Amino acid sequence: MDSFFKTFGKGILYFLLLPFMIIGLVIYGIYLFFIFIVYIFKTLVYFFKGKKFEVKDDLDEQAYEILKARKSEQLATQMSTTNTVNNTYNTINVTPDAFRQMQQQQNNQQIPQNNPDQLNMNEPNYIGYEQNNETEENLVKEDGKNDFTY
Amino acid sequence: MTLLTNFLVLSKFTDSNFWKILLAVLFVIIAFFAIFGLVGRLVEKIIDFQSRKIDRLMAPLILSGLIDEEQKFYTVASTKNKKYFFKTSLIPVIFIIFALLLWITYHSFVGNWGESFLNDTTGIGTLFFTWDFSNAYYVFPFGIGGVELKNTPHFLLNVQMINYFIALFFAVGIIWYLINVQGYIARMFRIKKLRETMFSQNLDNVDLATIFNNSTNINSNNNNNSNLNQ
Repeated sequence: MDSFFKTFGKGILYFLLLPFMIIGLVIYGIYLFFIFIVYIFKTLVYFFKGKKFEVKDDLDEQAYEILKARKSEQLATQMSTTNTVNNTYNTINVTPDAFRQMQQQQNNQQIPQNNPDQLNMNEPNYIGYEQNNETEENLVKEDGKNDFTY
Repeated sequence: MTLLTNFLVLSKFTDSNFWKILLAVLFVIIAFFAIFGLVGRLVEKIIDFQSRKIDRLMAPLILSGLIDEEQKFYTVASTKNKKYFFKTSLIPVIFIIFALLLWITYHSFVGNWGESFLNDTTGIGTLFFTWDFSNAYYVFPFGIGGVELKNTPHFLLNVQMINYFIALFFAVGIIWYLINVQGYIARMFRIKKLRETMFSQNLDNVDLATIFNNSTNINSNNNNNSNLNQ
């Protein structure tokens, strides 16, 4: 309802201001017609000089060169950097409630259980993966106080 | 006599048709202004769309760092605005010039320079209903009488149909040109706004406390207390 009243109010305003807006538009149109004639002469001068009259000028060419050079520098730095693994250690304080929610979510997820008979013993680092697979359950202390440091 | 007139006027107010007509007229007035408001909002959206062109024209210059001063931005943007207006107004001006040349050529051949391309006998007015209001009179409460139908829509099939093309080219050219003028005005307002927001030294939106704290607290240990990925 508010938007209707707003539209209605704007309608009255535009209706009252319309003659002035049209007069302003016509005056600006006459002024811009003189600008148009000036630019026709400029176009003719450009034509006889052998150049093309465009909105973009030498400053735009410089800008595009700078942006192109910047982009190629960025691409070069991306190609030259190798993939490194940064081990960042963050201290995360988990409350008991959050830990219980986490456990519930992990239980709800369907984690595919690996069948030992189907395991490929030739997979690299298989033994290493099993030995280092420390879950949150393993890290829970007997006193219930949890301090997870990854 | 005055008493009779007053009685006749009062009897109109007790008539139920009067109130129905009044209600219908109020509805028409409200709908008229509401439609006017909607058209105004549409024009506002068009102006906003037209004004964004200056962002696309100036973006490479700003991003490359070639323009970093307020006055330089204003000068370059205004020049680009004029050039863009000139480029987009070439076709409508050509339409207007063509309409003018057609009018001059036609009247040179026919010899009747007083013939109008707008009226309802030789011009584009023949395609519309027109009425003669010279003998019109007022009928209480909301009526009007004495209006005569002057013209019903019909096509001219002789040489005068050239007036249709003159009116068509002239109207299209003028409307297109005025839309470009509106675009120019919209872009000028946008340039002024960008000039103030991009290059102003207004500290209203700057949080000085944050800047001060970040500059003095050099050895702060930024702990990443983020939630675990779930």
